[in-house]
Amino acid sequence: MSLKGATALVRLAQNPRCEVLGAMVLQEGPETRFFERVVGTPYDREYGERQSSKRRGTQFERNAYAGDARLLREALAPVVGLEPDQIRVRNLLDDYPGTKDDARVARLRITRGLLKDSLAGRVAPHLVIQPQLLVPTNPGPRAYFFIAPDVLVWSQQHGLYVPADLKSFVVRENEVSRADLARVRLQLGAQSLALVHEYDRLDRGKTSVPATGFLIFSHPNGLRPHAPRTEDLRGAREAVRIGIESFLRHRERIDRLRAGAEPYTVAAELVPHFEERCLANCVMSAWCRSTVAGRARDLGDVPGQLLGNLELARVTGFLLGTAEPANDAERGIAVELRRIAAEHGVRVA
Amino acid sequence: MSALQDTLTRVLARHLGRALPIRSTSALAADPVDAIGIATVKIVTEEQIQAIAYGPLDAEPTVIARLDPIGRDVADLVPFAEFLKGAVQRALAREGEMRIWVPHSETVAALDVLGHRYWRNQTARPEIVRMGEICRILAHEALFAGQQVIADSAQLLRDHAITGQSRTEDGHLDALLAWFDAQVADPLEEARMRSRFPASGVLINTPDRRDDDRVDRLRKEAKSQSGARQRATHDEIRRILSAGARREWNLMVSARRAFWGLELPTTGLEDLVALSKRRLSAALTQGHFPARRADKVAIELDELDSAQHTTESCMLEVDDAARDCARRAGASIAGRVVARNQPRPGRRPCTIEVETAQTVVRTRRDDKVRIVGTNVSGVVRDIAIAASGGTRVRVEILNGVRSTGVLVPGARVEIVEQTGGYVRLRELSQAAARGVWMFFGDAAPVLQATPRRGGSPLTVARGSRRP
Repeated sequence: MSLKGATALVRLAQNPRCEVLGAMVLQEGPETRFFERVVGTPYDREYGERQSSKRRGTQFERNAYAGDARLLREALAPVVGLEPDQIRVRNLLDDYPGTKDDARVARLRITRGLLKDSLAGRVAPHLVIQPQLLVPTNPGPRAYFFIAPDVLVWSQQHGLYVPADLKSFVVRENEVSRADLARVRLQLGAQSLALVHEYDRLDRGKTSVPATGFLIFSHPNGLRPHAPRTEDLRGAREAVRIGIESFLRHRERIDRLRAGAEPYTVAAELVPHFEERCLANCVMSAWCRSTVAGRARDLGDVPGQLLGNLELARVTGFLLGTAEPANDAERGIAVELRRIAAEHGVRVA
Repeated sequence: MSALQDTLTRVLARHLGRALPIRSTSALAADPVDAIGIATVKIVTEEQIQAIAYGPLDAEPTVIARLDPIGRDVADLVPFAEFLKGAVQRALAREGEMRIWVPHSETVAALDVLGHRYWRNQTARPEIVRMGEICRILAHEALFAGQQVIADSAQLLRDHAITGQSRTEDGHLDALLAWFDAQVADPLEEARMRSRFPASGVLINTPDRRDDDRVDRLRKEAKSQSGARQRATHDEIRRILSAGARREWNLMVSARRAFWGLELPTTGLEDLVALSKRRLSAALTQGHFPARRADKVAIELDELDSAQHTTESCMLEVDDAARDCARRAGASIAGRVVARNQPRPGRRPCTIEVETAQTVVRTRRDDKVRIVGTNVSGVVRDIAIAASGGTRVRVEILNGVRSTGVLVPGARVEIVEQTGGYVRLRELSQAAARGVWMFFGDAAPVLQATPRRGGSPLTVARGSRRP
């Protein structure tokens, strides 16, 4: 899996200060290859989506789109404001299937046509399945990000299309795991931002695209769409916007450093921004972590914020008598550390 | 615990190369006689259990490896359903006393999804339906603070000790356990190595060990096979799944051993045990009824909130370390009685003045407080800076005015807020009948303006305060 499309934007939104991540987005090919080229050893941890997850996701979408998207029409009827039978559906995968760039460009052309029709008041589908949008970042390498929402839904309330994404996570009593939600909200934020761009192309900013979107999760029984969940995307859209801005900054610096070479070649000269959550979602986390080894940030985000760039050996030195606090903040740390050590029966120098 | 204390304890744990206990007592009562364990392996995102290990904790577990976990046929789960039913019957015979150890919260989530799938399934066998209901009851009970039924071993270790790694890394049970094992020379490296394989109720799927993808492929292959070849494929699926479930079970057993190895006293938890027993036995006998209407949800939120207050109160009462943290945050006041004003001995009115060296106290006037370790409780009537530079607190004693041990000048006392749980059961139960607009209306009622009496609300409140 390479860092492309919405996945790249979500990752940039999560950690906009990381230049290494910027290089990974610029690099062709999967993240693991970036790791192997930089570190020199194969990536030995789990990576990418499991076969079983892929199968489930595909099956969920297939069920939702079957019979002219009958289940989807039923689930989204309240949003569209029509009876399910009255909802018009267009599945762009029927026109141009596949994930190759040619197919994406063809779907993008159709999507733009449909958006134009809807703005002009012409007949347009209420549900556009597998539309294609674009976030431009030109001029420069990686000049655009293809963004593909699962569905564009005509919202009666807003009189515009809004993005909706299908996720096969199971919903129990209307609750979804917080970690799952945070990531998919950003994904939806990227889709909403791409939609802003597309509407903007058509009417030069006259249309105000609402920062809202729908998440459609799965019922616990069978792979049927649960009632759509309306998401406020103001925060997510802003986070993605900041991520894109950071990417443009990183790209400029990386381009200057690499002078035409591949992005991975300058990884050692880039400034990583290691955070605790990198451990769970970035192949380069162990490598970036080595830059904070032996320092407070190695113990996590909160220790990093509290102790700054202090070396752990220096902090324990306050206890062992091998280091002297240099200022009031360090004296406070030393007093508290000695108290904790005494509580645990550790001898203090 | 403050962020700084947490951080510096991590620094110390890293330096010492072992986990450090942060509580002086256990938040979990001792295991009842027949505590059981459950460990599951699910299909990622599918949330379907594909292997389950269960049984008493002092024996090898029974393992069910499911060849077709996404199929409609759940006959393979009947032995587990029977086991659960038996465990519940024994618990009901002991007024709801039950203990189920699980490796981590993902197991509870997997059981909850299992419950969701079958507790109202009219085509499933009755024992499967009952299993579904029991699973939902157990998952619901796990939501209550201080509950004593589900022992989430990873969470218990995290609540009672701090390691020398980050919080995120503590989320991995196997990595966490490296800090509790005296045999491990370098827990930091060991933990990072262990975290290569998941410990969250799923099969391993690293480049060198693609168990999950392999099982997925074998299931597909088995569909087009027959006879001996199909049997061999099924055996291979069972072998991988059983190994996965046993791995989870072993993690749970190790975590349980590590937890009890902390040797923290399990006393003072009688109230929490009684609450847990009451909730569980009621649900197991009456059935599970999730709150869906607004007033019912409000009652449930009150119940959860009440459990939280009761647990916090209990911990402050029994745990020195928790009280120490509370003291430093100003939530507990440790001081000495410097004066008592009780005109008639052993009778109300009775007021004591407590002086403490603490400069930060969170208690405010009119807060209800109690004195730790006694039956004495009252209301804070005044807080002032003491001549010594500390704080002087005046408390009107409302209960326990006959106590002779603590209500005398010179006695050392520790005052904490009285945060007993309260569920507005009566008020909220009447909400539906009265059609309260907050729950059942679309708009707030229009209130007519009335002339202001007695000045501003602040003036009214000030006037109602007792001197």
